[in-house]
Amino acid sequence: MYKESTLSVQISSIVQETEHVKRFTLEIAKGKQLPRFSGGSHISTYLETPKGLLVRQYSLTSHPDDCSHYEIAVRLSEASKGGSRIWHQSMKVGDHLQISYPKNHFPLSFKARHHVFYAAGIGITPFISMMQELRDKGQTFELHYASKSKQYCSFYEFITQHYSEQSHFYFSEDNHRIPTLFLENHLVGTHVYFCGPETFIEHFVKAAKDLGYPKKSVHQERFSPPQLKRVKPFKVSLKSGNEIWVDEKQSMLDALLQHGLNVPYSCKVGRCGTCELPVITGDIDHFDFFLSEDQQNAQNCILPCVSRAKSDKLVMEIK
Amino acid sequence: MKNKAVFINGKRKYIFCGDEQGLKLLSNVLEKGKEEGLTYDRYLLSDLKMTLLQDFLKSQKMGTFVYLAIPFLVLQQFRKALEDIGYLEEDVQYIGYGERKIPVFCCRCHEINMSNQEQNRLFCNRCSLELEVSDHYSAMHNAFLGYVAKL
Ligand code: FES
Ligand SMILES: [Zn+2]
Repeated sequence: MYKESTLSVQISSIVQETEHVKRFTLEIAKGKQLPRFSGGSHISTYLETPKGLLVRQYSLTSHPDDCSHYEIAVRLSEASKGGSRIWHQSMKVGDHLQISYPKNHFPLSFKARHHVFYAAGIGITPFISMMQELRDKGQTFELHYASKSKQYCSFYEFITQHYSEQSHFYFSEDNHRIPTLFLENHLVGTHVYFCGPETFIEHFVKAAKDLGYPKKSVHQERFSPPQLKRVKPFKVSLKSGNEIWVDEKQSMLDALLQHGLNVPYSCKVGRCGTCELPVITGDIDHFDFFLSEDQQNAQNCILPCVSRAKSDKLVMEIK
Repeated sequence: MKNKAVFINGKRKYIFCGDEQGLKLLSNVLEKGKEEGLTYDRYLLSDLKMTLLQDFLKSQKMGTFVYLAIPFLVLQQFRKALEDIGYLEEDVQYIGYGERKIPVFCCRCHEINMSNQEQNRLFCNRCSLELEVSDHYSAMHNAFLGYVAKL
């Protein structure tokens, strides 16, 4: 039923952080310890619903070295297909659930001489544990955090209490935004990290690229799959001779899963590489953030959670 | 490590750095930079010492690209210094010239041996001990440390 080995945890407290964000503390059975994790890690949470399991990823916001509990912060999203809605409306203190082991697609660079975090909205979450890790290691960092207002700003108190020197807030209500101009001032050896809505990330990634930042100094974390500008339906033909139709509204991964294919997956946003599948022929439209340019150009594998076909058909190496 | 500089597009600033001979090797990319009206600095490394250059390179902003052309003999040592500042492989082109030899310090008799870049084991010229070339460059001896190969 679960695609990976899981940990069984219980909700031990729920805090209303802001109007739309709740923090959940998760504990493992008495006498046991949760695994340590690295800054920027997340877990998958498995929610049981009448329609089956819902898998959602959340950054861990507790201290990486604290094995007594984990904490996640969940924003109720209006467009929620159920995940954040269930967390907000149905989950109670004392409830049990399964979570994955911590995973990290957004690790701190060990080559950096200085780290700069750019967060917008709930995009603050991975940076909470990253700042804790850097503080423990005695490394330098700064945070630029955009939010609607102080009132809607998750972790505002925590951050001002622990990292006031390193942190800068920008409230759109006061007409403050983070200027991409900041990127011009970072000294050589700086690594930048972006997390927030798609448009925010894209804006900053582009500005860094235009300045000539090497790709390896620019890190990004996405919570949602990229918004695709061109989507069209296509066919997937399998080794068995079967053909599967992928329509505009679904991902190729979902189509394959619906047809009972056992494709492993994890992030579903094109970050982790778990869902990679070999392609024999067909033009692939890559939308992932995992494969290198060379790998993408080779046109022989696809991350079906986000990527699609340019041609009408993809012929796959799978049964 | 290359012997010929290749122009890289799209950086906010370029630094062309080398000793006299080295800067000559950079003339093609330097010309190209001038033609395109790019921001650049030309840095003559007259004494092949790292200290001044180090401060200069440290004060640069992200998006800066460095061309460094110096004798192979000292290239490794400079590369290490640049990496320590935080320059990634992608930020720098290292152009070497001259003999592809590096100095290796014998841990037993303190002889400085000249070794081919590619080889990582050699016998000391003086005491015949077999040495393994480490990637530890000793600024004091101006050579890479050679350790006993068979321990
Ligand atoms: S599931 Fe992570 S890349 Fe597709
Ligand atoms: Zn010797």
